[in-house]
Amino acid sequence: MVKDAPGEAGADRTAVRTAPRPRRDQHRREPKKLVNGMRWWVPWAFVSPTLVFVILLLVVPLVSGLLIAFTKWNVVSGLRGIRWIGLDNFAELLGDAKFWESTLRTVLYAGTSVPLTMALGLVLALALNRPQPGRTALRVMFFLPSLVNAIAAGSVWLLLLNPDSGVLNQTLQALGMQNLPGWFTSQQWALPALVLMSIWGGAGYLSVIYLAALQDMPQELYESAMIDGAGPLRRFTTITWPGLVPVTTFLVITQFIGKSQGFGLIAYLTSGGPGESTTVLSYYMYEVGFQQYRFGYAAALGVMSLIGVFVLSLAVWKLQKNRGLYT
Amino acid sequence: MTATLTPERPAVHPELVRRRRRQRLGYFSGGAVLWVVALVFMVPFLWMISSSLKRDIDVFSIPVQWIPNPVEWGNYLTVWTGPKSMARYFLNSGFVVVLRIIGELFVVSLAGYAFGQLRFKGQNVLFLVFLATSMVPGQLLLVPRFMFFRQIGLYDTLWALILPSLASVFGTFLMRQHFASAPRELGEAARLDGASEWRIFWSVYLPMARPILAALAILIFDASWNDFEGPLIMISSESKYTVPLGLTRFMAEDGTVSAGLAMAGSVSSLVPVIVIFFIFQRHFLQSMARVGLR
Amino acid sequence: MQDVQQRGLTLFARNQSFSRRLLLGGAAGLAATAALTGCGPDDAGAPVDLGSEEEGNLVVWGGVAAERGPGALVEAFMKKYPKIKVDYVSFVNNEQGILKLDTSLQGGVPIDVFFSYGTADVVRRSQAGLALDLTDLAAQDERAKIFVEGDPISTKVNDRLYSIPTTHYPEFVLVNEDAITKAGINIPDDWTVDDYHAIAKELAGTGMVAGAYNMPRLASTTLGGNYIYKEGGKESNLDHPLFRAELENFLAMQDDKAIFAQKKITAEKIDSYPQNYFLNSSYGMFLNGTSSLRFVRDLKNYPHTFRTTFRPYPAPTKGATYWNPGVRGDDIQISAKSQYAKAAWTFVQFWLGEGAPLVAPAGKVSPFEVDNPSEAMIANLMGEDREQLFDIDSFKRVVFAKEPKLSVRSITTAYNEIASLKSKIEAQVRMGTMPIDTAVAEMKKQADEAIAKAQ
Repeated sequence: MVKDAPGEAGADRTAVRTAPRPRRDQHRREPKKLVNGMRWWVPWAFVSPTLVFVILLLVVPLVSGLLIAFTKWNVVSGLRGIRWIGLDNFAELLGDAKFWESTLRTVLYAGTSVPLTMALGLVLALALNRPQPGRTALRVMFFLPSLVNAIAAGSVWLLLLNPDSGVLNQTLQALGMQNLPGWFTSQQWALPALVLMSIWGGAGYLSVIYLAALQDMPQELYESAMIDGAGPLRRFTTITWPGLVPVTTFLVITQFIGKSQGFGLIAYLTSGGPGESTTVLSYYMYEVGFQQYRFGYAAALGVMSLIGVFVLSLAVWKLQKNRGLYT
Repeated sequence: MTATLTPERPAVHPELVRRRRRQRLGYFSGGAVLWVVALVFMVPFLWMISSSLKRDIDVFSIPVQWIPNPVEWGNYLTVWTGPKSMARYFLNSGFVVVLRIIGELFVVSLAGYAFGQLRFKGQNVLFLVFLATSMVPGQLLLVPRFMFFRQIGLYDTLWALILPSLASVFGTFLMRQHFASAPRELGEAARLDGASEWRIFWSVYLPMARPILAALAILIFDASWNDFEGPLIMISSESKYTVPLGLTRFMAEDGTVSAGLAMAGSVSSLVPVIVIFFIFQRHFLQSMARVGLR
Repeated sequence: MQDVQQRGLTLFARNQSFSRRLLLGGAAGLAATAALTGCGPDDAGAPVDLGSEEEGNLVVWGGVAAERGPGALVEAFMKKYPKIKVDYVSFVNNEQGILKLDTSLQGGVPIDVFFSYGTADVVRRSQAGLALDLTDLAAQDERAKIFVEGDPISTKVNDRLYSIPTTHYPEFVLVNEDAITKAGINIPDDWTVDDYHAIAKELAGTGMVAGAYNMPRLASTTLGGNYIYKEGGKESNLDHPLFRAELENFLAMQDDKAIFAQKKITAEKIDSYPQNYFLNSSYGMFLNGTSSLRFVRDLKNYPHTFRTTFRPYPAPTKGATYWNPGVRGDDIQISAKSQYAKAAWTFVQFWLGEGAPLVAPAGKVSPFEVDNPSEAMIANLMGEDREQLFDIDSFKRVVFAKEPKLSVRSITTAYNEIASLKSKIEAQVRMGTMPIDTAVAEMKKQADEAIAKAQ
């Protein structure tokens, strides 16, 4: 592959572009503009299928959903039953202790499980990237947990984390630990138990993505680094990590979105308990909507969730600018 | 007999030998640790498999019985050949999943390419809007989507499960990140040569994306195979049930679960995913060999 | 590379107006589509009936899986009425499934007959205009008229009947007969909650993990169906001393091993599989209803050798009249939008009459069999091995007794929410993480808030 020195090639092309057009074109009513080497509508053509589907299937329901946040509605009474109440839901929300508490729990839950899962996923991907016997089998084994449905996974983990007879506590006891955690029976340990479960379920899944990204990395950089005598740690910090910045950004944002939305497992396993210790914002939304039939308030909670995640993603996005390998 | 003169061993620096031995040891123990962790990860599955072969009453016995006694093969028979066997659900899920993968891969690589490699006005704003829409909690969309699909007559069809995935912001995001880190010179050179954008995309950049596409295919498979919320809301005819919905048959209307059957169903539903994973992951392993593209 | 970027930026700046136009246009389009999708089908009164009493195309939504009984019923029905076609759709009876039924009814999905498995669901759907008023039809029906005449014995909304219960579902105690015989315990029919406690304690002493699974209630049995509300339903009744007494009972019985510790119930999620522990003799007394019979008779999955006998729900105090906390349930309703209302009524009548024994295997006892339970129904309910598995006489005595009366609920404001918060707080008390005083205060406060929000 021929590598042009960037400056020269660019200069050439600029020169071409600013050269005067041949006379023929001046007879046309609209001279065809070529932006960046293509017609203006070309990128839009590429984006259009996604755009159409996003508008129809995300934006439109989203707008309807958001509008509901300004109403009082129980869905069952149909469209006649919608009552516009403006910002009342939001006023109530700000004074609702359960809202603040559940938001805090969401932050704790996602804030611990996302970095931990990603770290483990990266370590696994690095380890699985090296040729070794049984690598395929290993990859499958780590990926499997993400495939299991909530009921099956929940039932299994209940058994494993049984405070008296579960494997984990038995092991901890054998290692000499006193005051074993109560896991799902304790208000302090239920959320950590969920974090543990989510690491198990997510690390392999993330390692698949990281593996693909690692295999995308240019080998020549590594080769030249090794020639220069860089050790594995240095190679990691100067090449691998920066190269993974786009993927890591993507994962932080999407994982955070995912963790702050999921409630199916909580609904089956703990129903928000014991007490309120696992009532995260998404579960609270579920309770308000599906148990109390207050869909207006639930939608308002959803709007707050959206704002929170959006702000966070924006922050992550700004942070990762100009830190990658290619920027 | 004269003693054969053994040639002296070549002078190898002892330090190098030691380092190599350490490396090999590190390598070996690293591998061993990996296997131990992998087996720990597998423990829940071993329990699931073991439970799927038990009678309901034995499933939750404490202390945990790892070897089922007696072994109840009947659970699998019921799941597969019983009055409403799961075979139909597997077909439905398979149909949905294949179409979702093909459709989504196509649509998101197009959009990801545009966002990642092409420059056009409004692209950042548009992308942020995309991203924002995906941050909405899914529950907010359930009722409006239900009404929408009712309106367009796709309620209770498998298409109602396929189409929403074509609005995949996750996939678009992933492909965008991938294409953004691909070298631009190739495209620019090709444009100079007069190649159409479509050709550049199809013949130059898309083949390079094979590893990430394979990864995404696996993830789409995983998400759609286990999607429960979508079918729960959109499907009502039992003949159109997908696998996760089918598993709910083992839960009665008062919330009690037939544990053995539910586990047999769950284990059965894992098999296709494992197979697909094996196939696809080998694929992106192979394409690693395409060093020449870089 | 950089000049391309720069050029891109300048182009963006120059074409701001273009993208703004695009955004505006897009927004308008969005608003239009949103309005479009928002508009549902207009409910312009009862639709014209396309069929007749013996002709029609029915879609029935039920929470019981077809193969457990409804399928057989539908077949028998179609044989009797060949001109009525019935499609039975089973739905998952969890919160999402219930909402799905609600939105389907609202959104005009063709549904003619459906089931509501809780008073709150019946009331909500009826008040939203989704169910047909059955008062007049029921008054003329031999069987159903008991629901319109006299005092309400089932759920009525604004004094009108919108649903007909298809099951008679008292709560009673299933007892491991072998265990009590071995321990020399005799349980009289008129026993009280204190007797229950004492007997459970004795059973625990014979080597079982606990004597019983759950504790009999005081408030619902003493106060009746609306026990969580004060008169008028605008305030919660959770400051009534009986609720406190229940919490104290919980702790006392847990300490005695009369019932399972909450820690164990949470750790093993026993509430999804209580039958497992009864049938493997971890405990000896099980407060439940007829739905548990299907586990007892399933010897393949739940092998056991003991015989199950039955006792009435313990009285809160000796000799007093009290209510059975069970209800007449599994309410069948006809959709207000049904286009085959007449045929739907024929189906409802069939379900209540000839069809009832066919759903008995699912543990459903028809309210009309109570006076004269047929052998066919007992056989379907209890299976082939019933002689050796069940003390059938005690079953008949307990389940078909006229007293104590089944509860009737008429107020359901914020019912689901109050039930949920009550059980959460109870669990915390049982776990020892909340003292009783706080618990009672919290229950009252949160329940009142819930009722206020639901107005």
